[in-house]
Amino acid sequence: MVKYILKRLGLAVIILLGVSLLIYMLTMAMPADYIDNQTAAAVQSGQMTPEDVLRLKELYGLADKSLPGILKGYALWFSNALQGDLGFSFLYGRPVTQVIKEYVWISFFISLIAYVIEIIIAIPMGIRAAVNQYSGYDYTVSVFSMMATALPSFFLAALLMNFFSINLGWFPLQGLTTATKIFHPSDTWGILLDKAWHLVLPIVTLTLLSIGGLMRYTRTNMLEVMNSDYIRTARAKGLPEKTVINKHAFRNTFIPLVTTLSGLLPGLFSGAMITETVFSIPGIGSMAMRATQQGDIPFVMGYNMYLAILTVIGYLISDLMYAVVDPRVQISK
Amino acid sequence: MAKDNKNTKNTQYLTIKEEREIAKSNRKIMKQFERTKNRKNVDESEFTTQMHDPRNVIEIDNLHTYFYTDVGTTKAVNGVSFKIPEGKIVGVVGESGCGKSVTSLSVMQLVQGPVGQIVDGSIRYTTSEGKCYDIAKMPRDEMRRIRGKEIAMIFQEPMTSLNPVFKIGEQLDEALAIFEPKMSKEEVKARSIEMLEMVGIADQKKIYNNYPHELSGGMRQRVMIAMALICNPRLIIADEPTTALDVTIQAQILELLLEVKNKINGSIMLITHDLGVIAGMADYVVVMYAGKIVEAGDIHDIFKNPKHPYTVGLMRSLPSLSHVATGSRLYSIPGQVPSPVNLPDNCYFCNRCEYSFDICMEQYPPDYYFEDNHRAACFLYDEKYKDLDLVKPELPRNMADDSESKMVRKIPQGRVVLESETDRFGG
Repeated sequence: MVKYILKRLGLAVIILLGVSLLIYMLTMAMPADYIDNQTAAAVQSGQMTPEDVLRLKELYGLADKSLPGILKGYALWFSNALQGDLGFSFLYGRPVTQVIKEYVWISFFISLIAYVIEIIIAIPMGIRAAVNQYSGYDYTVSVFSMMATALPSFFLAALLMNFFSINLGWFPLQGLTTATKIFHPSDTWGILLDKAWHLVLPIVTLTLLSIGGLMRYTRTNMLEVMNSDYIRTARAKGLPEKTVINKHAFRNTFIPLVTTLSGLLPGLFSGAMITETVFSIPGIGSMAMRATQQGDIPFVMGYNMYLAILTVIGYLISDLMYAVVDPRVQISK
Repeated sequence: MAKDNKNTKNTQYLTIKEEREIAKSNRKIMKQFERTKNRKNVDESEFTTQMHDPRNVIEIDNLHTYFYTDVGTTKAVNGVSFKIPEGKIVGVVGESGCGKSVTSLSVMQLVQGPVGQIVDGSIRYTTSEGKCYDIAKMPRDEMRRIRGKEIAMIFQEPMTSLNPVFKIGEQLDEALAIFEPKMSKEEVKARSIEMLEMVGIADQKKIYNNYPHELSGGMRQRVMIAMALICNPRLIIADEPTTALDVTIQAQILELLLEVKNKINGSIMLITHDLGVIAGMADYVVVMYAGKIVEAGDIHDIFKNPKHPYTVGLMRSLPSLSHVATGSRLYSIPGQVPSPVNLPDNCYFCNRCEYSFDICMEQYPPDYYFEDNHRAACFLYDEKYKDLDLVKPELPRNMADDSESKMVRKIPQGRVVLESETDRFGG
């Protein structure tokens, strides 16, 4: 087991190496970099000459866009990254690691709640839909959850905002705190409640977006299990239908569910780029979005490496979970 | 009429309109059946009945089980009647798709719903408490009283019939615990281990803690048998219990079935397509073809004096050593089974039958009875056509010389074994 994990981690290092090089080259190949973005207006109005811009670019390490130049820049970035230094964000003017550390928690919090609600709603729904295949319930649930999944996140978010905050006025439109209210610093509950109130719509958006997929996944797996021979055996033994479904069938559906869902766990730290941006929530997702738009190479690199690490860990957890939940799988190598 | 004809010719080509009509009527029918089956708190008198003969464990009477598929209604079991006397083994033979398995699943009410439904007929069964129920009319909830405790089933595929994520012991315990809620965990475990021992598993304590995938196919089938027998059922349905096993294990499993049957004094409904297995085990044989029984009778009647051309064809297509010796080709029945969706009005076998004559193409034959319960559904035995001097099917001489013939012979233990099967049973 330990040997297997070490082997997988070794493999992960190689993957991350490749990923980092790819991302670095891609971000460097972007047509307009950070300096171009920042100086475009000044150059146009004649306040800055192209020479000034070039000097700035050299200062930021963005001047040499030839392949050797990119590779040199990458080598520098890489040697720093090995020491845990992901560089300074151009846009935020702070170390990248510090920015990630600061903004990740709000994203994680939103994603975690959405993830839990999604599981609580989607799995029982999928099971019930599978047990009553082709029933009215099955069709209704499938249609509605797929509709929610099929909507683009920004559109669904806009719909919810329009309906619940503009028309009904139940929830605030954007942001994380009410700007017009003043809380006493010791009023922790008041602040928390205010934040929670702001997070309802984003969480609802994320939940609605993901329920359909998980519900269909549960339903499909459950249907496959329900048609298997051992379910017939369980019924032939005289077990009540409840035990057949909740114990024999679900324990088998559980295997793909646990491995998939546990694989998603690290992804909770990655932030929801579009939803956070639409709701103006200062999470890691919206920070990354801004950084990408501005060509903030250190932040984009740092954030993408962070995502790559989360993904690799997710797959590792997913594979390890197979051995935990499925007695037929044994990790020996 | 013209349209009907077209339908029977091309069943797989339905117009969208026809398909929609089928789907619509199917939904309606299935819904109604499911509703009846799912009722709760049904009065017992609704499904209580009387056995015609108290010596029988089960009486299947005019059973119809249909599948409402998208291409039409598949009549998988289409009027099957037979009975299983107490302590006897009844063999059900027929080729794949003839409705043997569906018959057995109907008895357990395990036909895959909502598509599959018992449409008509009755399955009368007397419980150990002496109550007689009609299984065909029993609501799903009540059926649990019968499954496992009264009638147990052994399935064809031991490889997939055990739940892969639970230990053998847990699966055995659970079968017993549900009917013996008063037994303590240790008692249940002791009984499970005892059952494993009874089915000839050597290292029971170890196997008890194993997962199904850690056992071989033969071992798993033994576990399945142990599981089926753990509540001392009165009837065991063995649905092709040896098909998925290799030949050496087949004989062991069959021996084991016979042995445990005697121990618990139960009856067996043995479903197989292997005539050799039937010859070695059964007391009474039912031959099925396209959802109907074409011939039924005592093991000796069927093997010595088969009446229906299909039965004779089945026996002639058994490989035997004489084929090897003489270099003759193995017989096979020509043609194909009619589609169960569009069954003709005539005898289902007539287009494959060398003995068929005019009337066979016109209507389905009734049952004709011979000595002791031997019956066959074939017009060849109708008194009306006696004058036609019809050729009756017969077994080739080397198969049916006399009662101690090469085809069927008694072996010292009193069991009947086919010569071609002697290698399987170790002579």
